[in-house]
Amino acid sequence: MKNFLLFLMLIITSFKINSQIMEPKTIKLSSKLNLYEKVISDKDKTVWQLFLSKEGKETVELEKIIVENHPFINKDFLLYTPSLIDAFKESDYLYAFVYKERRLFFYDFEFTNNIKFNKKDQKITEVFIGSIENFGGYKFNIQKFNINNKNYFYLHYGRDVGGKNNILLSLNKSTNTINKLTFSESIKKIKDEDEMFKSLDLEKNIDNVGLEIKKVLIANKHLNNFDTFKYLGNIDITPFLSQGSRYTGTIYFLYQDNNVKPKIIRYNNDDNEWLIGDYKEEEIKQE
Amino acid sequence: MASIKIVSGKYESKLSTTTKWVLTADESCLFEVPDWIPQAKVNPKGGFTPVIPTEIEKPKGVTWEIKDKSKKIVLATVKGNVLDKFKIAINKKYSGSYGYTLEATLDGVGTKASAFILGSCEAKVISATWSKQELASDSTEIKYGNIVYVRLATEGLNGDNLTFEFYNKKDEKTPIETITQECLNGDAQVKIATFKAFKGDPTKIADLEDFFVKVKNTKGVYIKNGKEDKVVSFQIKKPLLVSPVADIPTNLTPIKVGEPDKSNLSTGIISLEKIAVKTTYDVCNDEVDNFSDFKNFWILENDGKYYHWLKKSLIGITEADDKKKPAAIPITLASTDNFTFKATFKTILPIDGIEVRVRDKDNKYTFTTKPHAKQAKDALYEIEFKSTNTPYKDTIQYFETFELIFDYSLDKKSWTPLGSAMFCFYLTWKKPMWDKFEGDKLTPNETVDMMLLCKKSFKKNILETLLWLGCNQASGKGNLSKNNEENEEQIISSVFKQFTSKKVLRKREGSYITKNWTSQGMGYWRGISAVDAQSGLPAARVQPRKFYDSATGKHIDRNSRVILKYGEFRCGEWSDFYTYISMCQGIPLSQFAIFSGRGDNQNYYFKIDPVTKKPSYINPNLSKVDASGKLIENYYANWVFYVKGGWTFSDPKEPVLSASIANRAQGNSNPLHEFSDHVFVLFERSGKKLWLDPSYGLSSTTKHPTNNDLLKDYASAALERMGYLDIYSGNYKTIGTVIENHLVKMIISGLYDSRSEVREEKGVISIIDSLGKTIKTF
Repeated sequence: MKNFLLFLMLIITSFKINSQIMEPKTIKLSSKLNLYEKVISDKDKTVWQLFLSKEGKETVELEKIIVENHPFINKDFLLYTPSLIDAFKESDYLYAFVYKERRLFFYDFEFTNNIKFNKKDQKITEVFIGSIENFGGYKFNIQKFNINNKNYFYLHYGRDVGGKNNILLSLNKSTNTINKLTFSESIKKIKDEDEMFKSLDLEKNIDNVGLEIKKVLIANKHLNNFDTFKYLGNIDITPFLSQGSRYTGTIYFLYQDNNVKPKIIRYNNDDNEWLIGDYKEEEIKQE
Repeated sequence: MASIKIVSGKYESKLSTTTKWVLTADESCLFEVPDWIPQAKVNPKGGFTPVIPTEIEKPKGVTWEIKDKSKKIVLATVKGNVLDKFKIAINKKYSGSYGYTLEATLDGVGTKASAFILGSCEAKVISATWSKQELASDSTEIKYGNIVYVRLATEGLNGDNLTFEFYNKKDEKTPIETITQECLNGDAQVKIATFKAFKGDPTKIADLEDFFVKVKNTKGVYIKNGKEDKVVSFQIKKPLLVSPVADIPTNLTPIKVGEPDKSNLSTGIISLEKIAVKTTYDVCNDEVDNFSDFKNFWILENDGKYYHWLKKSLIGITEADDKKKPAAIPITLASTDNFTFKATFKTILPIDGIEVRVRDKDNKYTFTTKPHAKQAKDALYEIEFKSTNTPYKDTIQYFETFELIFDYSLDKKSWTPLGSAMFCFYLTWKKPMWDKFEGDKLTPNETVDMMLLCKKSFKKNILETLLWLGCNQASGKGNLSKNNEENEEQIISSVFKQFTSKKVLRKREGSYITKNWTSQGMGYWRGISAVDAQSGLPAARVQPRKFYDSATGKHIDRNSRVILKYGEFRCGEWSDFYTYISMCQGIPLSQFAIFSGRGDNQNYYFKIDPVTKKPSYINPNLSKVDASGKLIENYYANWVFYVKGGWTFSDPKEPVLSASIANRAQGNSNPLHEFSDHVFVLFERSGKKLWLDPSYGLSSTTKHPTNNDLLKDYASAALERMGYLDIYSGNYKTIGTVIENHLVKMIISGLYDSRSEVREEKGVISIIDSLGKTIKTF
């Protein structure tokens, strides 16, 4: 009976909390606009709401999700409560990453005169379904990079216990959809004996970096001398730059040659080598 | 097709063809299209008379155009008629291999004629400048790290690919960098990254050094500026200011080990002061708190550099925390690595011609080194030693104390002991899969990530027990079979023997770590990882996402570092723990998860309609509802599975677990013993599968061809019954046969790929009727 009681104790926990407002997350989109969430739970359900507020006065509800409590299991065990992960605003669009239904979604809200909002959502990825007792909660970390007027995202996610995933995403502005960047397993590795990125400040040495990339590409016959070459920028997935050194991680250098589509050459900091290979940028399939 | 021909002017006839005219630079030449000139007719008196157009028959118009070589850009346009000649001269600046297109178009008809024209003259540099700004000229000071723009004005080189060679005057044979650039309109400019010139020992770089640039054409002929090959020269000043040169101590983190045997110390003319082993990974204490927690990184600091061994008198001189570190500092290499280290010596007397030899105590490694340079008294100098062999290649080794013994000689005949250094040495089978460890490479969480970095030495680190359990348990394994998959299996099986005792210890149990689990071993669902509700907390404070430390009253975030820091964890962490041990040897593993239909997996089984309260699936044989949807008979939910050992089943009562004295699981005689999900380790090679459950110290006795076979074996070995619960009455129905048919299984393709990259296999959950008959599988 002891163990049955144990389960009941866990179950009853949610019944004892009549109304609980969880810590809301607020994201500042601009000097005037804030995006924030509100979570209210009672014994029957959890209500999650997403609001946009202007100068702290006008508030618009963008999304409302009601999650019915499971009659026997504490909601905390189920990880079903939605959560605002990150958001940003560009021109007439508000973009947000939202966790719900054990998945990560990308929202885009098109708003006209701050009154009408057209919402679309797109599933990005699922989260492993193991129990919270054995695998803990979930984690998401999203970093945005803007290169050549295009948004790229580095997403690190997973459960508290166990491995995590790292993926690169991009935003297709013409369709407002998220693409996933997948790199070919067929790659050419070129050792960098100079280890030039060990401590180089990429932003202060833009010309230098571009020259080096061009040199590597030409030397390895991925670019001709007379081809157009333009270094566009980088996605530097490297820790501890503040300490002035790179020991691990990958730098994704974007450039343009005669083709319209940007190309990416990667640099592996662990082994100090260039990785040359193709990549695909594809919309994430929806179920 | 009509062609353009030269009528007059100086040109290089040997280089010219009917479609390419090479003009002598600065010389005017006339062109026409002969085919378009009205034809002459025969004069009866002999000779030819051109046909002169009448007023009515005017000569046709012609448009002459000069275009760039791509023919896309029109540089000049001249209109005339077929009788007019086109005149052009090409300046020396525009002369070279660059071919302009001369095109004539017959008006009205649109017929075209074209030819390439080039200018020819002696190739030379007219002027050369350098600047730190593009298209500028200055003479301000250049420092290492500056970009220097070198710009040439040339003659006879237009369109040529010029190779710029950047030299330090100290070495006029080997260019620091070569850059190829096309010369356009007689102008060529390149950017030189001066940080590349900052090479070698910075102390040997003068405050001001001379550099120059030479330029050659595609034939390898150097182009002269006046009479000189060096087209431009400049100086660069130390120190580097803009682009750091990465001369942070590279991979040569030192290694230090214990105290030298004093009886073995020489009172001779030099002393051994410091040792830094060339490692890829250093070793850290199991309970390292964050990346700045230097006291728990097993590395020693001296004068801003890091060592694995320091002479006793140096330990703690610059870093007090070093005094608390193990006497024999742990080091790790892969068995395929050469053993390379740098030793620092101090002269007691001036030396000249001294030689030092080193050997390990077992005389396995053979080291080579270079002669010591002449040194004055009290000089500190560094010598690199490198093994010429890898005596333990492809095997795992563990040396509690690994000793390097040093001798010196003045005549290479008689050798005098110089001292010794000891390390705790972990030799892994392959290179550890550190880059696959858990961690956010962009924004690391220093208290959570397994990709551990020491912020002082800037080295990657591995928790010591992960190395110790693998290297100690599998010492000598790795090459016993010719088949590497068999070697892998032998290694993971050897390591697992420690787990079957259900008493797994950490390397430094009893010292260097806060908790001491020497008597119990690390625990499963014990202490901080026990059920939170059992901690005595008020129910409202229960935080299922975290562990709870009753000693401090604090909740602890779940992560893989908790494994070794606290020594108490659940199946997710235990499976990760074993996976990490294996990954440290370079052996990847997968994980195998099983689920009941309860709770978290409700999508599979009993989802309840929030309005009608009606279960999403109603088994007519087990449950009945009335017209309003109200449940009126039993509804059995696939609830939990019971782990073997100590259960008394008395359906429909809840099963009862008896107390135990012996450990049922790791370090715990009475752990939580029934679950809705569980995870263990999967070793899978060439279609054969082996399971290992670190939480319970159980493993396969045979290899299985399929996941179903494996699960059947696991269920038979580890599980006692499957429990169904009538969620309304509280009655139990337990099933003790073919338990595998009541479970959902999921394969996690390796810790390093993430838990969400899974191969989920649904359809195994079955609904069993009251007689034990399977009536529904989904």
